[in-house]
Amino acid sequence: MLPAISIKNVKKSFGSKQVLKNLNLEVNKGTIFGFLGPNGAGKTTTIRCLMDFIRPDAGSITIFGNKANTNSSNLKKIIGYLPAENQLINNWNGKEHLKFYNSIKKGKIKYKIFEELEINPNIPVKELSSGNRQKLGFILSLVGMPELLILDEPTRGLDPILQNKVYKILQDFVIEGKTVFISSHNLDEVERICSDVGIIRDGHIVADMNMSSIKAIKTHIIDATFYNKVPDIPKIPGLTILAKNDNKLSLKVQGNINGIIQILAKYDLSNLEINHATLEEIFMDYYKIKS
Amino acid sequence: MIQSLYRDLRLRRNVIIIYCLIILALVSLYTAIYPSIQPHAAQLMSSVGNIYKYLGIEGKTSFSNLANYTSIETFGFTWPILASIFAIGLAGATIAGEIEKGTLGMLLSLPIPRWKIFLSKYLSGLLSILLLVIFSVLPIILAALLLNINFHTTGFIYIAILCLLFSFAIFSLGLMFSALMNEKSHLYGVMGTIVLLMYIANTIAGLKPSLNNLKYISFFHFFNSQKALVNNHISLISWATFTGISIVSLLIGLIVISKRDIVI
Repeated sequence: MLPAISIKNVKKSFGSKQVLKNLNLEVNKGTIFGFLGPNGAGKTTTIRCLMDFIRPDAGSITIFGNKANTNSSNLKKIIGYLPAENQLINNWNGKEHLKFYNSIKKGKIKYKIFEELEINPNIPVKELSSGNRQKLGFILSLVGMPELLILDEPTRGLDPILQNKVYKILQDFVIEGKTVFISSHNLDEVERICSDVGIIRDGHIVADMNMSSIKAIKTHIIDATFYNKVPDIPKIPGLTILAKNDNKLSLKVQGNINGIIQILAKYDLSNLEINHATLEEIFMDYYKIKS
Repeated sequence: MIQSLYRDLRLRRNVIIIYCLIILALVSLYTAIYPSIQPHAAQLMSSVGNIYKYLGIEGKTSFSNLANYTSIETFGFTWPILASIFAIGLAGATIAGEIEKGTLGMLLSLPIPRWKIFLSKYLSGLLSILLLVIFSVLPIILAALLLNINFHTTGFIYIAILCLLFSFAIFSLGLMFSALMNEKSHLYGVMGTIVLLMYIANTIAGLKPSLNNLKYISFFHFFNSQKALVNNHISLISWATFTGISIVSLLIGLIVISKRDIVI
């Protein structure tokens, strides 16, 4: 099946600084793709290339099989975009923005959505809070019933209730076979709603996998409390000691945990907690290991 | 493109209205005081006539009729400067200003080709300038009718055309630079310097015969308000210069905006 987004060997420099270094990425149709990376890794530059605001120095970007920079205005008929920075007009209110978007994109959306996302459409943007501006931007990205949503930090500034509403809208969107590309710092959000994840570091992709593969990596965090002093733990593959003090030991185990459980079972324990590593811990691992 | 054009006009509506009202007040004032100046025209010219030469106003200076007076007082010095400021301000706000604010991203994220965005901004600028010229010329005619001052309408049609040509050229040049830049202050700096240098070149050319050819690098030389108002004539070289600059700037601007990276 043709991918929704295909980025091949993309390079982009600003002056002497190379921001994207041979970036390769594929986003499948009908998925919510989480695009992760710290500040300066190249996330926004990638999104700007996807939106054809800037052009790569080398490589190619295709969206639904069409080149992003030659079919840009046609592609934008089926792309909804939410930027990280506010691009709204300060003197216009929500209704005026929606009217403008509706006049350009086919597949209009109704004012009712303002009620659903609890935003007053008659207040000028300059008087809206950052969260309400974010909501308005999100509403506008949905105009035209797009096939692909490109969202840069979509829930920034939203309270948890509204975040859930946004997640619900996105999940319904994907059920219809559409695709969502989310750049986010919020790893809980990515873990919760994304089916695929790409991690960018220093201008190239260091991990590109689906969420179930990430979970299958089976990284566990084990916190053990001993009645006595913490014993010496023999080195076994995949085991890392995170912290150790008098009678407490924190371990990270990648892969099968039977080996370490058998070792710990030899000692008197007052408490033992075993947790799955979060996406954040996996993400941090990528950054530590790869750098 | 119509939506984008309408958006642009709406965004700049207040500035356009305020500027048009200022121009209207100014030209009405100039025209209203003409009846009190006319009886002393010869005396006034003998004492201050040389000043106009230093300001780069060519030709025979006289206040003997409304056309002569208006061509010197209104369109000889004040109007070109005010129109230049207006045209440069518009050019700066429409592209560089929108990049600076980030609002151009809204248009770029919608299914509108870049050349159409540029063209809609160009047309909105032309329409704004047309409005400014109407507000500059019509009040003079109305004031003359009200005050029973003799005048010929043809001259005012010619001056309106010349004003349009002059302002379009400044605006087109400004929009071309605006398409290249990310901040409107940079555009104002560049265009302000260009217009100032053109004005100085025209003035110096009038003062020193050895530097007479300098006038050909100045738009102000080709903006001959006296010929348009008094003789009902716009020289071919004025037509060619203003239209040529406008078309070339438009084409360069279109190429630049289509090719450049816009970091929003």
